[in-house]
Amino acid sequence: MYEFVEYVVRGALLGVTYGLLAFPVSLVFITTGSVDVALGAYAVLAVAIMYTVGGPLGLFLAIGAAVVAAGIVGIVSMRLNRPGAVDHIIPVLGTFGLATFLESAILTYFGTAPMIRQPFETFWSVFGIRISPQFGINVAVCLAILAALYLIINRTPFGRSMRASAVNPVGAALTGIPVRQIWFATYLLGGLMAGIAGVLILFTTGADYSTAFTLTIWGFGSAIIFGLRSPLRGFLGGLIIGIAQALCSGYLPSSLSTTVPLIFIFVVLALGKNNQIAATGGRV
Amino acid sequence: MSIEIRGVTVRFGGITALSDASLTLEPGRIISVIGPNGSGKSTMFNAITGMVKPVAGTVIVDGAVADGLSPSQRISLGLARTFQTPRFDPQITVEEAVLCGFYPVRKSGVLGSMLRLPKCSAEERHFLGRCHEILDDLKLLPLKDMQMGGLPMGRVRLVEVARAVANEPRYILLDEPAAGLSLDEQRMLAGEIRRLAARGVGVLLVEHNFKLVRDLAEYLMVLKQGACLIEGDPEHVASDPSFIEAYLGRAA
Amino acid sequence: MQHGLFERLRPALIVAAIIAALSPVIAGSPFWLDNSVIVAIFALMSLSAGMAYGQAGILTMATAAFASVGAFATAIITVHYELSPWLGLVAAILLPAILAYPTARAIVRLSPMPLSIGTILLSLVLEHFVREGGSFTGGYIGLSGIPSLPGFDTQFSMHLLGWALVVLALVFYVNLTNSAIGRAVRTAKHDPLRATADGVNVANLLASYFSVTAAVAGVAGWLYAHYMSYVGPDSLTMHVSLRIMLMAVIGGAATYLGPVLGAAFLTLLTLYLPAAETQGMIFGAVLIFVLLVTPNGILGTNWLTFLKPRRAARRERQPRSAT
Repeated sequence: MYEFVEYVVRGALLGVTYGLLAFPVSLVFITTGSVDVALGAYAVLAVAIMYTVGGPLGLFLAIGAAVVAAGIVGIVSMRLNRPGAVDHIIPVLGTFGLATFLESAILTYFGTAPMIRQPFETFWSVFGIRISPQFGINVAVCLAILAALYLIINRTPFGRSMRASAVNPVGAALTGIPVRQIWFATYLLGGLMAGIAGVLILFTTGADYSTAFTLTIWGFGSAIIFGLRSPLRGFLGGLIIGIAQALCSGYLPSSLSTTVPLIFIFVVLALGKNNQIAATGGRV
Repeated sequence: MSIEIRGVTVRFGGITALSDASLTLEPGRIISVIGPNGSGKSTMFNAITGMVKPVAGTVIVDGAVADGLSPSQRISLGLARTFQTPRFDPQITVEEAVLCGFYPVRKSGVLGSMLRLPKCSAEERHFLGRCHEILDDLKLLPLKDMQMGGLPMGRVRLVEVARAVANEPRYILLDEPAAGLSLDEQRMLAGEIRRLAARGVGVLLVEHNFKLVRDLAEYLMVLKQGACLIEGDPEHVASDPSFIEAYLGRAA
Repeated sequence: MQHGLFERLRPALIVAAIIAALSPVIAGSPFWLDNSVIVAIFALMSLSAGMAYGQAGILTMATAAFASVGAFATAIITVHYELSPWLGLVAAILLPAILAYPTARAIVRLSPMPLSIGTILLSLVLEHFVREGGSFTGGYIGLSGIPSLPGFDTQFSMHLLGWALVVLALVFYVNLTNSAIGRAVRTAKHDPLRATADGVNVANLLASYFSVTAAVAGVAGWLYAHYMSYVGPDSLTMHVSLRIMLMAVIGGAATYLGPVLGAAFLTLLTLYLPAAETQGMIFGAVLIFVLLVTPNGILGTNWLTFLKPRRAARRERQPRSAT
């Protein structure tokens, strides 16, 4: 039983970082109708910079670099995905290109070595289960972001404009909402969160240059489980994926432990009604 | 031999878009459904072609219950439809748009098409020939190499009709085909609809243009808020006070 | 529309003519022959990706995974069971196709982005199976000692075989595109509901089409295995799929010759790059540049419109398949 709880806790520790990546996936999707597959690459960029520089300066640079990278992706994506555009797949392709670019840049400047830091030697013992203090930090950071995000989306004029431009970009633009600025801000926000997630990942599981796409997959998987349209549910999805992963690596033979969570996401995708092309609206 | 819908009810969330509608469409007949916007006309089309799932009622095609069939299976039974807002890829040519309509009657599969077996080749030639005939009927042949996106709306609707006619359906459902058509184009459309009916095709026509409906339809059903308000032959309906009030307005 | 026989054969003839012209020039150079075979293998995979994305709208990241299935199928047949590579070819065509159909069928109704992610998942799962396959797939070490093809044991003959397969694939591709099925696939890409009203079973059709593209990738994998004589878990990964998709898009995914051009361009580009690590940066940058300047790819763009005044350009008919 302790074993089981320990796996769940370990999974949750992992899951909160996925949750952090799931936020921007949903956010970018609901505002721009597109997906930024370079998110994982921003996170790894933050990991690499934080690992190399370290300290408060490293934190600042790491998150800053993620935001700047997201800004570049945002500018390019917006050139490719004008409000009201029908084909959202070309910007996705663009983010694939940028993800490749970032991954290769990280490989070139930071090498292939895995990057991880374990700042805590001691562990908290809660009912006999060893919990890293890092877990406390991760959860606190995530909850703080969750709360801030909730307030931004639901209580501020920016959030209102964001939701409006998500529902109907052309209509929002006609009523004077600066849709393009909102889009750009969403990309930056995504970069910010991916950067924070990256810093947490450095202190949790670590990463190397090739982790970028895997992180995107986990973030995306987390975001879709309960439907792409809600960033807050994406956080729960992240927890579930993290726990599923930890349980799989705990109880399944190692040959299956990485595959089963992937298959799990695939099945959710295949069975879910959330992400299908609307077969018919009321009016066709 | 007919399409029969019996007591079909469709709900979207709490809204009843169509309630307890019944209608029979026989080959060679032209039946029209009219009603204000949101009265359930398009929903009836969607229910017949299987694009929405009714909560109650049955759709019977040629004596066989079609409720469990997918839209594509129903189309292969000999149905065809157009959309109220034409749906087309603006980049394809008129010719290609009409050729798309032949899909249900094609015989060659993926492999045959890849190898372009003689059978497939002959089929393609036949489709192309038929396509030109249909376009010629609608005086669209000179436009065959135009892109759909460059056509005026009236022509687009005619092309959509041509696309629906292509698979030689036995029943055709036309959703406001005359909206935005010039008088000339309306005449062409009316001619095509009569030709279809004369060939034994059952035509179900949703239309706002009451004059056109009166000219063409043998039987008329008026929907209001999802329910059948009145039905009968056009002259009978046109003189009914409740119809005049609901559709043409009190002043008329 | 290409109704005439000559028009339908034109893309294949163009490639055949270029290869016929180049062959005598590079026949004496092992370096160029080697690159030519590699380009042919990537051209096949890139055609597969171009079919999936350009025709069916599936931004697939599983092309290399299906090629990998084909490569391992023939490797296992020829190394473990010591059977004929031609039997390996049959397996390399059938196995990816059989694998692709049900998986595509399950996710093909998704909107484009989740669908693309679905193909990434598929690719990652296949990679894991290869890694964990033990001695059957060679595990982390891979399978080596794959025999060369009987009758094609020189580089020059492999060069000819590779390009013959590309030409053949092009003929099939053009035929399929200009058939009722090809038109239905394009309609389904643009508007699934419209395709349904045309009587198309969209999920079934797109899955079948995707399985054809997987078979094309499988052939590329077969050629790869017998040319390299080795295939391992890191040979044909998701990153290769991404690179292949970039090739198709840069050349023009919806055109016949675009993917071939893209494969040649990017493969030859890597010859002049300083280091392997920086390849991704160049590829990414080229993709972004191409998408910004000409979203339909090099061959998917009517370059004449760039020379004309704006208004005339807008009226100009955009080509569906330029060549």
